Amino acid sequence: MTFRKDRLLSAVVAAISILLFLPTLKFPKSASYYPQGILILLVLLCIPLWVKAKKEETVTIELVLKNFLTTRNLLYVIGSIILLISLMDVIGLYIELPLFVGFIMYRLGFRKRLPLFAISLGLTFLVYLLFGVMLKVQIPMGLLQM
Amino acid sequence: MQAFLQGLQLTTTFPALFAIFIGSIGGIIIGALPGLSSTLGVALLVPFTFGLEPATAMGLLAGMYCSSIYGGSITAILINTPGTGAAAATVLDGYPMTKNGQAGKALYTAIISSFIGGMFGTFALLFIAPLLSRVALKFGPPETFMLSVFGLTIIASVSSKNLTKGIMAGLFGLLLSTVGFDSVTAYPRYAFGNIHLYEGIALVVALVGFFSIPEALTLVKSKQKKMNIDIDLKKNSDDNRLTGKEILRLIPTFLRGSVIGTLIGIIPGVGTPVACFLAYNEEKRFSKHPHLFGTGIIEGVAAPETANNAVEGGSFVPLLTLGIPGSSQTAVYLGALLILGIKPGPELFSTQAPIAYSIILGLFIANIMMLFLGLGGVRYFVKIIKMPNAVMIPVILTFSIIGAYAINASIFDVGLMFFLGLIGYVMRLNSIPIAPTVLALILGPIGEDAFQQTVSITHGQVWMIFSRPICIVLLVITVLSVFFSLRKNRIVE
Repeated sequence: MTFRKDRLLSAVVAAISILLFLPTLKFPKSASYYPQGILILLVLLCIPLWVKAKKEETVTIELVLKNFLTTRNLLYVIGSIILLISLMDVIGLYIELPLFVGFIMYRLGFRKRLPLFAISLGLTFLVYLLFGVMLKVQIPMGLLQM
Repeated sequence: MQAFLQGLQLTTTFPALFAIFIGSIGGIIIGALPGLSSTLGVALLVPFTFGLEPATAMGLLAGMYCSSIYGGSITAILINTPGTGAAAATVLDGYPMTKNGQAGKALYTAIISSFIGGMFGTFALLFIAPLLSRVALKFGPPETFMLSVFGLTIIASVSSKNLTKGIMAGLFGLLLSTVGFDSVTAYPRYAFGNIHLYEGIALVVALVGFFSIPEALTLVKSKQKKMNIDIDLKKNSDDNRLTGKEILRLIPTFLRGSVIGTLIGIIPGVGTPVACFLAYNEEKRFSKHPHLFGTGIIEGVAAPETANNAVEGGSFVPLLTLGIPGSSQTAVYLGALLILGIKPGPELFSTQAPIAYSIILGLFIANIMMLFLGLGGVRYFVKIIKMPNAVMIPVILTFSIIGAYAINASIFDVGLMFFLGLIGYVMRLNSIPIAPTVLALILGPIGEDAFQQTVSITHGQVWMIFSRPICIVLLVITVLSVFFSLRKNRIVE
């Protein structure tokens, strides 16, 4: 099925707005008017977006997914970030960070081993110096806490 | 005069000058790092002021304050990631200038504009603080509400080509600003039982998410190994510097930005990001070539950068003359002053005049140090974009993640930053501008809180605010702003 790009966008925005409208029904009256007003305006704006959608800009759902999924590096980067965030407390940032940086650099084509290790470890050390020592931010230590 | 000279003597001692220098260097670093704000920088230095002479202590904080506001523009220009909220409008033309091979020119524009704005604001503080404080007193919740409504009309200006999408982005930003405790009923809206969302979405988390993550993901998707930009500051090219002719051309921009920044600075609770977007909008309105804004022109960098540093001087007006901090940074200053035994307010200039003047002179000297450090640092800052993408991307991601974490030491903030970043990436793919979302996220809480207070003050008869002169003026400006923006959009289409 082919859609005009902006029509697909307006349908998605309208659907999300309606979904977000439902929780506002439980808000106290004076707290609900403002977000409800915003959501109603959003749904109303989907109408001109739908009407003005350009014929030349068409997509299929398969094309949208393909665009997103075929760039493997993009998936690897997103996956690595999700993994880093999920395991931050368990493993600790100072262990995760050099692995994360090294992996991303390798996936993006940086093949010189020594500079790769140096940059991964150097960046981690810089983070430690700047945030851990100078700014005294409580960085999650994870395994290093034991 | 004697008090002024005593203040000058206090501020020009070696320890005071050294403190300003250290504060300035720290400020540029803090400002440049995404996720770290100028307020955080000033707050971190407060413990170091214990035991220092007041003039030295205030100099240290002044150096940090001035330079951190400027520092945010470095990453905004070079990697499309504003280091602070004050640089949120600088990305609009700063990063396109980098892509056009004019990173050096953009950085020079930013530092010179920041210097001029900072000096203007400080001069205003020195010479007309009592007059400005009277204006600050006239600004109540109704005026603040009307100002935020006016600020929201800027969405039309920063929506680039598609006004509908721009307004939708703005509404999305307003919706995000409703997350957290409602100011009247204290009901946690859209928190879904998650205590991390009770305080709402931190602006810095949103800034880092909306700007740096989409940029990093776009670079990942692009097949380029590095930005195809040849930057060689040794070449005597106009792309690498700001020419005398361009500086002259920018004089009206400097003036407009300075006045806007100073006036916004004196209004408590409004803040630097509002000043920089307002200045950008006004610059675009006065320009003969408004369609060039967003493509990478020096006016688009000069206006917000002048305004955001002019806010410094303005924000000290209510602090020193009334004892009311004009911004989050000056709120920290207030704490530092009280620790040092200095009580700001109407009597400061009569009972502790040398100290008062030393604070102001500290700002002057801090701006001058910032200028020299900034001018000298351009050749080094520019090297950032020479990094291969395979190195730049993990560096951007690392500082974004750490920056988001550092705000509240919360892993949830990091996850939220990334989630907003994915939304920002999808917005970018669909040509939905991000600037309106950020602007609305900044103005939403200000406007809503002011409206709630207005309803309370007027006992529900909100229309009474139009009996207040400043509200009427702001209403007229708002209507004219919308009219001219719509007209210009029609002409461009």
